[in-house]
Amino acid sequence: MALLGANGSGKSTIVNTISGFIVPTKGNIRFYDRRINGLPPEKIVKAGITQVPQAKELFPDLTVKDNLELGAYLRKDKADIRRDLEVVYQYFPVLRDKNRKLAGSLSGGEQQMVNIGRGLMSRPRLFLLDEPSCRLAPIIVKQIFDIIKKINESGITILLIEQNVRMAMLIAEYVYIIQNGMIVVSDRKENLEKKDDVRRTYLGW
Amino acid sequence: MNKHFNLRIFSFGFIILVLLFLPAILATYWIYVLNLIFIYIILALGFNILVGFAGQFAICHVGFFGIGVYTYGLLNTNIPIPFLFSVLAGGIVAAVVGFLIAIPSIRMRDIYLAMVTFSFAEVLRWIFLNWDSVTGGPNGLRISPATISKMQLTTDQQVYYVIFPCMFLLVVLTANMAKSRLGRAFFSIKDSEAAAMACGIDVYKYKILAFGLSAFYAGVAGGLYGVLAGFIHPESLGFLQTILYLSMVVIGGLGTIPGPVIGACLLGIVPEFLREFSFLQEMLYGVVLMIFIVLMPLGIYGSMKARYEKMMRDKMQDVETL
Amino acid sequence: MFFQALLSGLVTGSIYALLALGVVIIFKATESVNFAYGEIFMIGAYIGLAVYAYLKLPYPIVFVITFMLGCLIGFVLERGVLRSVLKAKGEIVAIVIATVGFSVFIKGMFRFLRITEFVRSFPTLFPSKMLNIGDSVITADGGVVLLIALLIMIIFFIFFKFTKIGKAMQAVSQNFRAASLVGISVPGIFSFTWSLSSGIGAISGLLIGPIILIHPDMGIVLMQAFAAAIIGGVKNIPGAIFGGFVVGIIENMVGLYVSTNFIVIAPFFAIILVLIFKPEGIFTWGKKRLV
Repeated sequence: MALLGANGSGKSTIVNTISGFIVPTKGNIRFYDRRINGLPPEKIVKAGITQVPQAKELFPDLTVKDNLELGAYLRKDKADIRRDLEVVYQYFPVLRDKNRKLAGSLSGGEQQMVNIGRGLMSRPRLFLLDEPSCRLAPIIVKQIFDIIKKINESGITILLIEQNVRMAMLIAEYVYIIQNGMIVVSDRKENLEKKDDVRRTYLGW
Repeated sequence: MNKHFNLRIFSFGFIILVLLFLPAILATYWIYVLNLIFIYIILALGFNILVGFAGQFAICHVGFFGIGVYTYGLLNTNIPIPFLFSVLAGGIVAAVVGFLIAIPSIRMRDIYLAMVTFSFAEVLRWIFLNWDSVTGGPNGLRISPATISKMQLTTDQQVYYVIFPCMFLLVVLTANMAKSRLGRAFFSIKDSEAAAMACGIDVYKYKILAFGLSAFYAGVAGGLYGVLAGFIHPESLGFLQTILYLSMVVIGGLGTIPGPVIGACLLGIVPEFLREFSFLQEMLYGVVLMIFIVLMPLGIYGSMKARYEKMMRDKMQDVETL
Repeated sequence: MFFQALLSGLVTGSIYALLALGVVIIFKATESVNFAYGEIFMIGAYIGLAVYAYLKLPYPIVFVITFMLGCLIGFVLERGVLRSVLKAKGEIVAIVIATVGFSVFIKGMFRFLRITEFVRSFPTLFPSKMLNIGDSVITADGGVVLLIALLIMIIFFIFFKFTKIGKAMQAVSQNFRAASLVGISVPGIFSFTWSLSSGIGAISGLLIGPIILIHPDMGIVLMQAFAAAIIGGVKNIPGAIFGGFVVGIIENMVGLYVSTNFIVIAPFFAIILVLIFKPEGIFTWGKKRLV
């Protein structure tokens, strides 16, 4: 799923509310029939929703390996954790090389990889990606989006928040568009491509 | 609006009038207490300038107070200049020391600034305690009484008419300063140093100024204390006093003008009431501090002001939606 | 004489090191300071005294009880006072005042209950046992203090680097937002850190019992603990331990070579010098964090 919208339309607010950093004053959020609004962030992660934030939130003085392993903080199955770490290294081979380096010393693109990899390590049921292309060079953006598609194909539900409409539309199945804090469009991608007025108003082509 | 204004002026003037005539009706002991409270008001106001206006968590205030007392004491006892000059000198010397301490300290923020300034205050206190030849060391310093043309000021009533005007003058000055360009510069630094710098405010200069100004108040308060008490000992210039200043300003309302005044009055009076139960007093004091910082972190006046402003804002919103 | 000063410095230094450790773990994880730490140190000494000298329980049990009670106090302090403070404003001034209020309250309570009249000194654990190293003497009590303190530091180090909670503490101190994202309960770690730190503080009080006189103003050691933490680097755990030993040794050296008057002011001088010239701590190198 892709959540699209202009700057300040409320995308990050939604993501942070789902993750528990913001508490809604009205209304409820349900996840698999369970009310999750009002739960603290760590419980949300436990429920299976993992967020990869827009800012590359890392542990700068820990190694790449430690950073990734911390993603599996709530898990107890050691063998599976090791296997998942391997999967992450396959998605991002560069991280295997820089395995023992301190995360703070990596480049922007590499840090974003650690960010995403760490998120994967929690085996989320819902994977929230907040503008993963933000502040990255275009080549790396393409790489990251390819990997996101691969992750989705491996069975993980992804909610992708993006300003980069074109790239998001390439890989999304379902699209939400938010404007001024309200969802104004929610439809399958194929249908949207056919609706000319929606395309022109919200998506810009 | 006009009615409001006149009422304020009237009640203010009434209070001033009452205060002017109190020495005639109160017992000497309570006049002493009032004198002490006035000195605390000056101290709290000065402290508030640095911590509340400019937002610098600097706790060397008691050191400046000490410098004021000792400077006044040494000058008044040994040099035949009018005692008010000596009080002023106390303020000026304290301000100079304030500038000196400020120069290395203003690079720091928060707990680091607090630690380094507290250390400076302790160094000053240690100097007071050990420089026997000048300060009298562990015996304290005896200060000769203030004199006005051959008449010695020895009673609390007499001293009252020195301390009260000084306090009043400083309160008015502080109130004006808060609204002036200087005051606004201070507040902007407290709010966001980066933004202040972007507006062209020389943050370093203003921080040093805040230190010096705050120290001046403390120094003057020190001099006045010398007039009042005639004696000073380094033991009364320690951490407990620092906590007291902090409490006054926080409980009253950090960053406001009436706040420190209220805080000084409350915390000046209460110890007198609890004189017999001194250990209970300490416990109570600790509890009061904790309760206040939890329930009313903006202080008494600060909370009132905030509630008033919110009320005004809600009213405006109602008007807008009409 | 020099060597004697060095030895005594090591013993008191080990206590300062433990205290500095407590200060640093709180500051690293929560960016706040516990001004009631000195009083917790004092409480530890008194609890130890009460349980060891009066209830006559064996020392290891006294140790555990003191530690647990220390943790409890830290926990109550963090939950009760700090939670509300952080909700209200979250500024360091508020935390300082709240913890200072607590320390004033505790000290007043101890004086009020006239506890000073009941307790005076901690019985020695190994009366008249001493170890001679050349001209210098180290009492068995002192030696045991040093050894136990070192042991605690080693245990803590292992705990911090290798256990899950230890890693969680590291994570929170580096980036608390990322820690939340990973499922770590940041408020939980805050409580844990405060409890642990207070436990260490109380233990330090217990340990120092046989060596010095116990009195309600013992909490004044807080300044030496702060000095040690600042010297070693406030965000640097091995630095804090180093700083503690430095303060202990320098204190004794200063007392020996300069004057006993100067001992009192030495930690403050150290704080001023370090904060002005090398604010990240003498023992920290490489990355310089903004002070």
